[in-house]
Amino acid sequence: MLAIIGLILGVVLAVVFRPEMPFWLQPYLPIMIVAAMDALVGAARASLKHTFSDRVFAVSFISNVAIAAVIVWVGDLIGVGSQLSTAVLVVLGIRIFTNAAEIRRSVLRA
Amino acid sequence: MGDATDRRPPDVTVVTGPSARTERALDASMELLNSIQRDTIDPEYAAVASGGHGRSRAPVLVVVIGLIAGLMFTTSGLRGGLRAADAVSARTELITQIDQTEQRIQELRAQGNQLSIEIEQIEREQLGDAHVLSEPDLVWSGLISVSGPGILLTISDNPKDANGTIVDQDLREVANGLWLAGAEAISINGHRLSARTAIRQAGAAVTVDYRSLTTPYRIEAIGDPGALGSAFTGNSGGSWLSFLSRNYGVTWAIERRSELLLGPDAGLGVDHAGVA
Repeated sequence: MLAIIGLILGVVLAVVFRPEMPFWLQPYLPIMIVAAMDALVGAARASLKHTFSDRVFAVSFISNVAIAAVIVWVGDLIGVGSQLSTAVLVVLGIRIFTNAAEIRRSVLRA
Repeated sequence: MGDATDRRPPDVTVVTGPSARTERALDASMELLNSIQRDTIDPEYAAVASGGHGRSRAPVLVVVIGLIAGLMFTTSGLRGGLRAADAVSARTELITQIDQTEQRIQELRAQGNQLSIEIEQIEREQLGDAHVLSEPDLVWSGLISVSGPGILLTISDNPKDANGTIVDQDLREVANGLWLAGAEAISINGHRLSARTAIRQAGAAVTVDYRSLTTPYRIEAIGDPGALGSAFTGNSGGSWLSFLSRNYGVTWAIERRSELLLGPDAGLGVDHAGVA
């Protein structure tokens, strides 16, 4: 619940203040967003299972986002470019879908 | 990922060490793929929950994390929406800048030509006969602007045939044909040919003196209009153009002109050498 309040607050702040994204962050942002979505969906599922924990949520969110950014950075560095990002997207995509399906099952019983 | 034995489907046996080799599951080699689907929520949630401590110790942290996520999503989303409009306006802006710069180049080039004509007049007044180069040498070198009768040769691409595009070699053949026919000064689309003028191809465009030109190509040559025209038509340059027009539909025409004015070659000039 608190996370959703924070999320809404963040959206409102971003719409109101239109923060300018740092230029060096731009290549990392898309994959960081996917990582953040994965953490959020995972947290939502955990909270539906009544196993939600603040600390785990915070740690998993921050580490997911950081690792996603690092992977993109390393991929650029070693010259595989976007291919490594694709690997991350596939894994996170599967996780997001599985979690979303699980949430759907427990909420709608379908 | 950590350990998540509690949520593992009962029919899947996972190899945990060499001792477990005997009860290896059929899909053990797909462990990586399986684990992606199995451990979709971080197992620490279950671990912490079963430990029974710290369920809601840091509500502020959760709000902050949510806030960061919201900021990230929205900032990125807003940028995505703006990007298309930005790209269009940036493109128009760039096109305007290119047009303006090209116009400025034209102006400056005209100014440069004008100034070199003035320089050469002043030189002639001041130096008189003491001019280092004789007049024919000055004409041949392309250092000064020259005027006189001559011919105007116009060559156009065949727009319907990709093979009917004039390339650098065509213009080189024509220029050589004109020299051979007795031309004393030649310019292509206003670029005077000298010993240092390169006629080359850069992508789809022909460059003369490293400036790209487009069809139609106007080649002005100073010389005896009648003799120049007929000599050119009869030599290698003329036959090259006839070949192009016969096979590829390139159009060309020669006009006699009683008065042509060709500017100096802007590409001439020395940076390092001096008169010994």
